[in-house]
Amino acid sequence: MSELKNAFATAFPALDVSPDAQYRAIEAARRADSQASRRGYGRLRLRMGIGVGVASVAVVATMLLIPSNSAASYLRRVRQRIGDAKSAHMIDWSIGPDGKRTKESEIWYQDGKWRIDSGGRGSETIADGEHKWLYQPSHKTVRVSAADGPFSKNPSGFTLSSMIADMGSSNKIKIVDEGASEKFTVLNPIDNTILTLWIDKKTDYPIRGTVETQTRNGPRLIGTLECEFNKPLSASLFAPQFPADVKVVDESAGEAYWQRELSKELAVFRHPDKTGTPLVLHNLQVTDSGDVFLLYSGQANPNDWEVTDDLGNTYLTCDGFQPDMSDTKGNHVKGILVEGKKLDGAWFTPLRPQVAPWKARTLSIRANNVWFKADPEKIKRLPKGAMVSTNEMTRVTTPMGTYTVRIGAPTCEVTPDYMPYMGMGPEEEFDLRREEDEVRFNYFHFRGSYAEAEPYLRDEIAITERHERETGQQWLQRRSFYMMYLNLKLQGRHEEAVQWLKRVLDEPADDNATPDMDRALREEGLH
Amino acid sequence: MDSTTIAIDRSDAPPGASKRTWTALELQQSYYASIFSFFSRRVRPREEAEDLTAATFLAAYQGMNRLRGNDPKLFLYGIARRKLADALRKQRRLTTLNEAHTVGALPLTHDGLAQALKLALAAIPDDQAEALMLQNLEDLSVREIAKVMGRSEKSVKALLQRAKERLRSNSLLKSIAEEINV
Repeated sequence: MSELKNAFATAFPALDVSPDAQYRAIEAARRADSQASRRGYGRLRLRMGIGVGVASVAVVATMLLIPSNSAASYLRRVRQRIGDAKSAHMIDWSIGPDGKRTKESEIWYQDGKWRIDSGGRGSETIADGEHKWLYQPSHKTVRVSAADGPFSKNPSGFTLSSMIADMGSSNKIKIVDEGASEKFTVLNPIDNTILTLWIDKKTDYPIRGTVETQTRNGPRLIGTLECEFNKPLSASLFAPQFPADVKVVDESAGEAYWQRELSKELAVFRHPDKTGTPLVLHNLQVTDSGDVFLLYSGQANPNDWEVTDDLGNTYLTCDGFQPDMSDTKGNHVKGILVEGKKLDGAWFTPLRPQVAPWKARTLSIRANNVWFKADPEKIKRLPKGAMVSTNEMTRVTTPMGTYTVRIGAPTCEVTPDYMPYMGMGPEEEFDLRREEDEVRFNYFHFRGSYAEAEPYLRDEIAITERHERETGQQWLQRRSFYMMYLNLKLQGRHEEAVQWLKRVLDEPADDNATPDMDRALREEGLH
Repeated sequence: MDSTTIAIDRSDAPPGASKRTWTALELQQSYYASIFSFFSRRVRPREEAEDLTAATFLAAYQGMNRLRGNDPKLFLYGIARRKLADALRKQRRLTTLNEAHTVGALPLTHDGLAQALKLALAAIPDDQAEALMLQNLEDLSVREIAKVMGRSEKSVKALLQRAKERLRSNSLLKSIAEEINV
């Protein structure tokens, strides 16, 4: 048998993975993760501490999916009770690895009105079914928009009952009688957490809840929930009253402004063979850290653009900027349409961080047309059983044109001003810096420049930990710790590397570990 | 109310795969090399193998919800197999030359044996060759091949059995193997 395997291996030799292909694949994977993480469930998965209050509502929604039996009837009754509640007050806390409790959010609901105070970001959202006010003290801004739901898009309305209906999932539930209360436990396979809610037997309302995650060192409490239902709340809680010195931004007017602004065309690129949809560059913004944001329409993806400047900077493609957001059926939900076309976006960061002061630069934005060339005369049919192709098709990258522009000063501070109107994009400086570090680390690490890559990953971990401390929101850092282990090991710093690998053990959602990570843990005797 | 338990039975899921939630990056880091190897053994040039690998992972990322409860390796091989079939169909549509494959004298070496093996595989049905390749190149078990090919284990065993019989009876392959004493 081994001879047969050897013969196969000789007959069909495999190629080594090229660093460039590997790098592109990693970037594609990161982009996919980023898109998933922005699609609600992924956000829950990544930010383990988020939304216990929302989760409790989602849990109750699962009752609809339970087969009809006595327990299901009981749970349906609880759901009905919550759905009919006139008011609700929920506080959710995140619990850090050190046991420190941080208020994640506080939610009030009464007669179709909502108020959500976010502990981490210090923002305050009030929604009355017609308008939504988002007050951000750090920006001294109140954004007013037509209400589309306090948490996310909530098409069926603002009652608790409708929220429940919109947040259904198929979690599995276990109910245990605990005397005065009934405890039910939900294993959520999406974020691999266990949510436990205690229901008051007299009122059928939830009293409190906990969220745990599994680590290799055992279950870890990551959040708690306190809730009260049907206690009258003060109407002033839902009054949109904010300090006099805040700037009020009318998002509807802002959207109209950006609609006009983004309809302009900076440059139009046509395919070399004059076919296909022209690629239109609509907007270019440069931040104070030198990041470049493009908005365009036409058939292209971020990798079809190449950005350079006369200062000698190379720019790397960043992730997580998606101007248009579509629902599961592909319908446009959020973002800006230009003549009915969805805008796409690309975000780039200089390979090396900018050093103050900011220098004027001439940016060159090259649009490429990637296509495939085949010469039928050279195509030969090999034995079909062998499934070996002599296909001579090769990928050809043809420049469609270059847009050159002189930038004397940053056009925006951290992110472009249009960002709130886009489907998704970096929301705050933390998102931006973390992404910049990650793409720089990947660039150097996967090209074998391990020592050059290391500081970027260290910085990414440090700013994430700082953000966790400041906001109480926890991030999965397992991959960062594992990559630090790999990076240091490849630099020959084995003992230091193992210390980083040990940190993987305390990370949530342990069974998400990759085989590579598992193997490393086994090899280091940590499994 | 008595204590009641509702459906927390995960026995229907494969061992180790039941609760696992994969991120795209974890999937990429764990299986990119295997899937690229799958394509690079079967198609040339390198760029095409890279594109097919990328297309496979892209399809996997888009279908991550179907991954739950399934072995990610087999999930990816299943997609890769379909991508390969699509690519080969496209290639055959583009083929203008339909040359008969001529066989010259093959060297009595391991290389010669490998070439003879290719020719022998060309002479057996596609599904038999594919099953053999999955077993010998990708190191998949019969159960895994069955999953990837969407067949029963019994059917895969039969395919492998017939394929090996056909190889054993291939005179060219047999003569070279005997000459080089393998």
